[in-house]
Amino acid sequence: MIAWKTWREARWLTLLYAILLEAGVIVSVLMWPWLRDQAPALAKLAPAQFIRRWVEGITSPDADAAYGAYMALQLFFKGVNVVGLCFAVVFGALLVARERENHTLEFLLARPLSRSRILWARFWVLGTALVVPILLTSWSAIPLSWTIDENLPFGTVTIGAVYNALFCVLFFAVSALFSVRARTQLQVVAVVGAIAVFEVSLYFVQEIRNTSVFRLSDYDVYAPILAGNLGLGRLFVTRGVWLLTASVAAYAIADRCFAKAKL
Amino acid sequence: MPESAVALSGVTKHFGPKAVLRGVELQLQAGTTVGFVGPNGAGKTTCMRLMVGLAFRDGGTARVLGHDPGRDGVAVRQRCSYLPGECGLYDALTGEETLRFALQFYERRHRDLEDRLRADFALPLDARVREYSSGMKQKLALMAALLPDVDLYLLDEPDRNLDPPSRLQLRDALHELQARDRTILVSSHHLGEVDALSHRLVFLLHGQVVDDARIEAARDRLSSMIRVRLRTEVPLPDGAARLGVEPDGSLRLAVIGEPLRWVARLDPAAIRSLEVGATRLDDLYRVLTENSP
Repeated sequence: MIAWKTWREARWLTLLYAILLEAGVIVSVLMWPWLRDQAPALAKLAPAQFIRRWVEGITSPDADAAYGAYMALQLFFKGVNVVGLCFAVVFGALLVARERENHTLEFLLARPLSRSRILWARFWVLGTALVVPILLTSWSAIPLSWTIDENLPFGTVTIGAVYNALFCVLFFAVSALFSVRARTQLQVVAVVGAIAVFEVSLYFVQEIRNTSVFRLSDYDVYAPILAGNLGLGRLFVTRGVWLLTASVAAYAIADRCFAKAKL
Repeated sequence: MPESAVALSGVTKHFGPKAVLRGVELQLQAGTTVGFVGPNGAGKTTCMRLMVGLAFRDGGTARVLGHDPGRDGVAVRQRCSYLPGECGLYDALTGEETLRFALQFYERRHRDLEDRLRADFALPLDARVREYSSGMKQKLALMAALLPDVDLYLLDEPDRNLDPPSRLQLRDALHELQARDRTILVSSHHLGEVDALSHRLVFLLHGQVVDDARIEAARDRLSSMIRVRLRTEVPLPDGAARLGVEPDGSLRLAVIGEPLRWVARLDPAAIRSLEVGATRLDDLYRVLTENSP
């Protein structure tokens, strides 16, 4: 019942989120023929080394590799990382801070349920609402690509989408950590948003970009995945396990904080 | 000796440097109704939250229905229904969905009381809560709190935002729970109604329960009080100090010596109504709070 109620709260937001992701996929796919022709000219404008690498990928003589590199950039690095992370924070704010802000938290906690159970019921519903649109919209890129005579392999798209979803779940779990204490949703969005902006700013400074969390979810991760050079096992062992561990740790701390949190 | 439904001893609670509860001693015997009164900020809400495990004490001991609410709040809430004072409801749900959501967690509910409250409150249960007035929301929250068939009801200002007919309906519903030997702790600022409903009153002032001796002293003081409403303005006999004027124009007076002797010196024709030895709870409340630190 908590799950049902949580879904009632989040369903329109989830629909909006899915529409935004899907719009990004459609625009990206349909822009590819134009961009493929423009890419050599764009390469000359690329200021940073890592951006030049993106352009090199897109201008690869191997047509499939070029399209894979483009979609790694558009679908995951740009699309999900931006829209997905925004909604990860919003869903995180919904988790508890919204209840506190609307003065419904006391009504909810007065039920004979443990706080852990309430938090988990809300977490998995909102987590599912966060992850499923990433998978569905990523898969939708496959048939869409056929309309421009391109191919995206189902397996590599799925691996990329799952990994990207895991990255969003990390931000969702971090947002949960703040949500259990925050008085308003805006506080959660402001704090986690500030962390995200800081991490992005680290990423775009060439000398220190390796310290940014976005290195775990950038072109250099997704391009090899879509090129078929980074399998699920290796991806999980080298990167996925860290995302998963950090997410579980953030959730565990959130659960502990919520157990004694003020109303 | 009847079993205690609630037993708090030396319970303390701080919010930062501020002590909200300062050694609360409280016993609620099973099957009784206790009125919980005190000014705003006295700690009533915090005390109730502690009893259901929604807040956590800093010191002292607490047993509610045989459980420590700080450690085993779920076990307490399975047998206890709590109406929060500032109860927010989910705007997006309908009234019916809200009830279904709130009641599903309890094994049993009072079906007959449910039928009665549905009829008495006459809420548009198919409408979304966002369309409800504050009084309608309070009625819905009351239904959610009163309908579970549990042993203990903790009601924080249940009459908030209710009009007089609804307050009467609430009183009838509480009488019905009393008849079923349920334990009820009810806080309210409508002192007369709490007084009429309760077997016992507990005053909470500045985070402490006022002891019986202090209440007795206050009652003694009140025994020399007179409330008189005059038909016409007439000079009052000596020996009485004017304490104040009620909204209906009645004078509150403190009489030196025997009140009835003083009343005998009043012109009977000038008296519209007379109350000797104030018996109202709000008088007691006023005396208890006026000299408190």
